[in-house]
Amino acid sequence: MQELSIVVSEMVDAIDRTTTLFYQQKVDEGYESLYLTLGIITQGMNCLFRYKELNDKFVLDEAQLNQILSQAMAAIEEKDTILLSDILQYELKEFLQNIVID
Amino acid sequence: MSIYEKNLECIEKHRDYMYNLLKDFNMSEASNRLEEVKSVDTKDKEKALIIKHNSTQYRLNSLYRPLDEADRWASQFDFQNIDNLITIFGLGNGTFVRTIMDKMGPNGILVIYEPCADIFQHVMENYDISDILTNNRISITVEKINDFEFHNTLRGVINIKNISNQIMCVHPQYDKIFPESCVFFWKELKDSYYSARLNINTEIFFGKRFIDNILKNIKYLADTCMLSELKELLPKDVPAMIVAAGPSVGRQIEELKRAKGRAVIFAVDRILEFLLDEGVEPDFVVSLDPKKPVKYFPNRPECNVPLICFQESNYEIMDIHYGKKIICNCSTFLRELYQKLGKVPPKTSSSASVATLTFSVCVELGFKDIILVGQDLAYDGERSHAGNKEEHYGTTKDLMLEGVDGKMIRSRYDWKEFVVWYQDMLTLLPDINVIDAKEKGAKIKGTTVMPLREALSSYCKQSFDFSRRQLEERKTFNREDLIKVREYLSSSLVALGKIVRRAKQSIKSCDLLIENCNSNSLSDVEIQDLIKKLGRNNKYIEKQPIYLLMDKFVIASSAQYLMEINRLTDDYMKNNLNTYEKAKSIFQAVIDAAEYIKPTLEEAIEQVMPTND
Repeated sequence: MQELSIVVSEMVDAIDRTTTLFYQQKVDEGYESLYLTLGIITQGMNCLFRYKELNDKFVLDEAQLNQILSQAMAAIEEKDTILLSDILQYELKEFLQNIVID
Repeated sequence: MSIYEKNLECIEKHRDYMYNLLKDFNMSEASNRLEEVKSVDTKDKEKALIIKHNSTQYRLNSLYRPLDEADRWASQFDFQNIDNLITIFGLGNGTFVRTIMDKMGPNGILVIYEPCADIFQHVMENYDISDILTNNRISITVEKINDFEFHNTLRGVINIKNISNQIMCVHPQYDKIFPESCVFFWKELKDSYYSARLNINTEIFFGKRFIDNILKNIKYLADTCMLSELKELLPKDVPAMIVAAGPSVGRQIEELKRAKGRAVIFAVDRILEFLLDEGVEPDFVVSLDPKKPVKYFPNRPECNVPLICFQESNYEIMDIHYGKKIICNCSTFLRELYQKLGKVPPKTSSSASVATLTFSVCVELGFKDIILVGQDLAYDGERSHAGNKEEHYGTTKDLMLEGVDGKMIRSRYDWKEFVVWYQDMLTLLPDINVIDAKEKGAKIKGTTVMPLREALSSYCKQSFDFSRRQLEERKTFNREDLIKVREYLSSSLVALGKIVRRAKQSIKSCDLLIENCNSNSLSDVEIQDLIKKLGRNNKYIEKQPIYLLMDKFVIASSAQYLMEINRLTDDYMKNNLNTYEKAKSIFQAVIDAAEYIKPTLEEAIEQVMPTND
């Protein structure tokens, strides 16, 4: 569980760094940061799924997670960095933080 | 009352220049027209602005939490300094602007440039922005409505204490949506910065010289009169002719001779000798420059052309001028004195050059037609001035300007400032008709360009006779007034002594506070007492009329400290230490100023009364 908290914390920090850059209109730096953040999120998701396989009681709403990630990808394709930041900040980050709380 | 009516009422009450232009504004005149502008609800029940421009849709706020978005955007800027000056391209729906308002501090100034009247109209109709519109620390310009306000405000708000603390920002997306207007925005900022820098450098350069001139020119007060007194004697219905020192004057001498008696001729100081040598005696000569080289002014006792000047004009030139002196602007130090004696202190903006000052003088005197001669504001080959004179500041200060013939012409950065000055004036004074009588040189938009011969036949149709003798008899101050002037100066001398004592006390207080930063030797109560004492001494010093004279010396000698004194960092102790060290330097400059002024002030007191008194 502690390992899960660390993984989530890393994802949340990465999201904060990237979204701050986008909110400040530092678009080029934001995309560079996004590249790293996506890597951290991918690794983080892999940890979550592994944890779920090992722990029956761990609830992970995959449908909601998929929806959030799809929305994020759509925002990336639209190059809407503010919408992307909003989704990462208020959907994905809250989703991840709720996992730890639960 | 609708939202629009409420907003409009705020503009009417608090921004009458904008209101007068807004009520007559036709949207068909707007630039950056939009295909669509609308607001949508966000997830946190705020509003986001969405526009469509050139077939592309743009969302100007977060759809989730626009206030948080604005806060995070603003966090990249440093608002810690005192006297923040913030300029933003884009009003949007006011969300980002309000975030700046919350952070800028009570002494901050915010200058907003909105390039799109469609957005402004939509916001006026759908958002209550009365808090923004009623805030007198905020300037708002909407492109094509009150454009001049942006240009004018920037030149008015930048000063030595905030020039280093400027924050320049762009509302998200506005630079992408309105790129041309954005370029204009940045260019205006750059120009205003250079203009402010020029003014500050002028103050620094002339600091002590202003003091010398004001005090050494006091001996002329007994015989001077003011511009308002001259106005009563001048003919109406004839034009003014301003002769500057551009190279084209040499080609126009015969026309100038014909102008004598048909236009009131004002010559800038530099061209006077040349004109006299060519047999043209102007009606007035104008001098401004506190350090004008004396070699540029004729030393001719037989020449009594009246001189229009500032109290700060070069005393060495005043000493070799033998005619009547007319004060068009009194120093801030003597302004209170004029008022105490029941006189309206003469005031004319100094502007950037003696020619532009002369223009202001002509406007003050009520002239409606003003003919510019020799205001080339460009090189004629290698020549910069009449009489085959060349003056270069180096090619790095040269640039190209549009000429009167539509071609680009070589000019200088300071001449470009003068062009901009004239154009600004012509915007503010649409009733003044300005004829630029030259065939070559930089174009000044708003003037009518025509040869001088044609200007004479069109505008100088009647002759007039101006009595210098009546002018000689006008004197602003009588004997009783001069006694009061002497008393005023004497009390200023006494105040100098008190100022020095208070400044020395303040230096001691600063030393104790500086030591405390390193050693924590004082209690909180002791620190507060010392800070209060500094504040009291500061207030006392700044309230003394003589400080208005000392200020110029203090600025000149401690400009760098003044530019940094309102800059703060994250480190509270470091801020305190910096503040006390800078304050100590400034108080020392106050003492140095007092010591500098004292002997010249004593001399001025002796010379106030005419020698036959």
